Amino acid sequence: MEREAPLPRIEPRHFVAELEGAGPVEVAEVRLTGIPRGAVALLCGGDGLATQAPEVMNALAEHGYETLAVDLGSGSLARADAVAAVRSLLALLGERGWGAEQVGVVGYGAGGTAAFAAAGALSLGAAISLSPRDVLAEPVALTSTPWLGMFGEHDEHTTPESVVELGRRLADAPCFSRVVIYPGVGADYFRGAADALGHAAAFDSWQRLVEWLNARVSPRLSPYAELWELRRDPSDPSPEGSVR
Amino acid sequence: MTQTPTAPTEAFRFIDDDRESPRFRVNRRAMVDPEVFDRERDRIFGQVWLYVGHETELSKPHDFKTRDVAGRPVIFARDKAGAIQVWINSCPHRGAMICREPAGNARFMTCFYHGWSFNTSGKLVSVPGDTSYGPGFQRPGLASPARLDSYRGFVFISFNPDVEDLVDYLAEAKEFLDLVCDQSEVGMQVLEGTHEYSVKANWKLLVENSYDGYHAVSTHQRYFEMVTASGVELDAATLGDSIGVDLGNGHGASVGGPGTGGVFGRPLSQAGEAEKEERFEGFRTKYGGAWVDRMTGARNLVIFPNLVVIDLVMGVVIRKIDPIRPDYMEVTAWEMVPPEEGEELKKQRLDNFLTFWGPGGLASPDDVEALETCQRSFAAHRELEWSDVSRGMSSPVALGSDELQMRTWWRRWDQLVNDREHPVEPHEPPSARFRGERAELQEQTTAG
Repeated sequence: MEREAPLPRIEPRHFVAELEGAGPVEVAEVRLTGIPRGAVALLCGGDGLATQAPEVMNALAEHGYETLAVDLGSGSLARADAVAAVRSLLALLGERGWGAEQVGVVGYGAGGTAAFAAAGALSLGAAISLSPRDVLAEPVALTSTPWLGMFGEHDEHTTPESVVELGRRLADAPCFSRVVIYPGVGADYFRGAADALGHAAAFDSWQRLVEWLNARVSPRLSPYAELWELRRDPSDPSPEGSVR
Repeated sequence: MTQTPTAPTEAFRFIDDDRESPRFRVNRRAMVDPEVFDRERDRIFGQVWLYVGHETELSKPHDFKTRDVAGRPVIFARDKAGAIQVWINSCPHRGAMICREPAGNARFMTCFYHGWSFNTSGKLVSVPGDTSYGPGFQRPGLASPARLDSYRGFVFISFNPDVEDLVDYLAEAKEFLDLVCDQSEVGMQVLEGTHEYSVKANWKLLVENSYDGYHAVSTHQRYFEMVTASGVELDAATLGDSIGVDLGNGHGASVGGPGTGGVFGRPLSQAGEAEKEERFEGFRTKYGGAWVDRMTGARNLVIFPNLVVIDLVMGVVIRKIDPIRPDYMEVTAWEMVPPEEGEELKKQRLDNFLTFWGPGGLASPDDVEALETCQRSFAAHRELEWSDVSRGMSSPVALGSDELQMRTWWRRWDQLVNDREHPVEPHEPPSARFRGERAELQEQTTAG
């Protein structure tokens, strides 16, 4: 994505973690002070962890999201293993106090495929895939995580027809989902380009990503909000609610 | 020229319900007077059950629609647990609308003014910089109407906590909703998308028009010409086979006899006719022939005060009429379908929704034109005070082209707005072909 006037940059901290299904993996982390809005597990594709990830993590930090970023390879990981790896990331985020509903999973390329698989298997706040691959390769069951999939029209891995078919299959899923196809751009539309369509796709996809997270990832309660929760009568979850 | 001073509405007689003549008239001041409009807001829309939307409009958790009910902006939503919720669309902080989108899906809605966030269960989940409020701050959730209930997927709210239960309020109109809803094995479904239009006329004029069988042939001549040209033979006897009914609590309907539904649409192919017949044969096994005979008849139903359900069997329209000013209303209409129908039947419904009911169709613009000319002429309400709504008062059985259903509505209106009581208008009960019961109901009656 393109950025014009970056804020002071946060350098991610790097460490190696043992992720179920993926083995020892390098992890990049951005922690925030105060009360962050939520957390994101960022699944990179290819060499994204070293190149684009720091920029994306900083951009997410501007919207109040802490991140853990990993590179799950170029698609060699089986979906079940990818889901297991995401589960391990959730456990790491849990150590920082993040519950599953307070976490969004964002994946690029092969990482997008992993995010799609996680959306079908886990109950998270939100899931977003940018240019995921082989989305029709296995049955999809979005049961509890709302998923946003964004594709370039000229993506060599995924045709527009298969995206439309995916949208049709997901329409009957219990959980809300949305697919978007950007015209005139390839799979790397999110990196931005000088031409109008490339610029529009990068800008719009980032805007959608942030809005998708903000509308779905549960915010962390502030200390005063926690006090309020304790004071409230648990038998009356919605004192202003209608008589039903 | 000196204008005659306007009498206070409390003392003014808006309805002339003369059973001797007999004659029923409505004073046209009811269509223009801002004071009447204010009284309607308080005494009708602040008191009774009002339609919000249909449950099938919200198919997934966190789906929402925003719309106005009785002039109040509301959020019509399905929460995380799948329950239908209705919230006042205003931040309890400083008042900005929480949600400014017409529809969508979101677990959290954030007020763009100061950033307070609420979930679809109405709970305040986040306040930016909440330390400034102190630890004892009472965190307000979203406000809601006093009552919410639904009948067969039709969701109603009331701003009156003491309103009677919805099933009691709906009275005999329930049966007419059943006749619509029984037309699907899997549940009737409201299609995505709406017709939205406005009319420069008093809202009550469209209520009258919505079950006015008398105007159909004269006002909608163009549409009937088009249907005839498409190969349908319109039988005058079939068109006239109808009754008007008082369903209690101000609700009423114009009801076509068995087989009248579908006479208005474009012709179906043999395969389409066969599918339709097969579907209704299936219903006969489940509900009994007498009930299904009624299902095959057309019905124009008004649930007091402003919900219209028009079922021409090959097309079901739900219409919500919103008063905005004494001389201006907004209208929203949805199409309701049995989702299991085949492509041709679905196409016929959509064609009907577009070509007859659409704001650019062959019927609704005619109605809008008629009502707007009424409203313009009501500028002379002092010179020509009364509109006549007497048709069929002296008939043993009121026909659909009579005006019993409108008188029923107006009597309820006068009771609520002006505290004036009117006795029920006596008529003979309709013939048995209009009274067939659902088989399951018959069994219950027998068992009971």
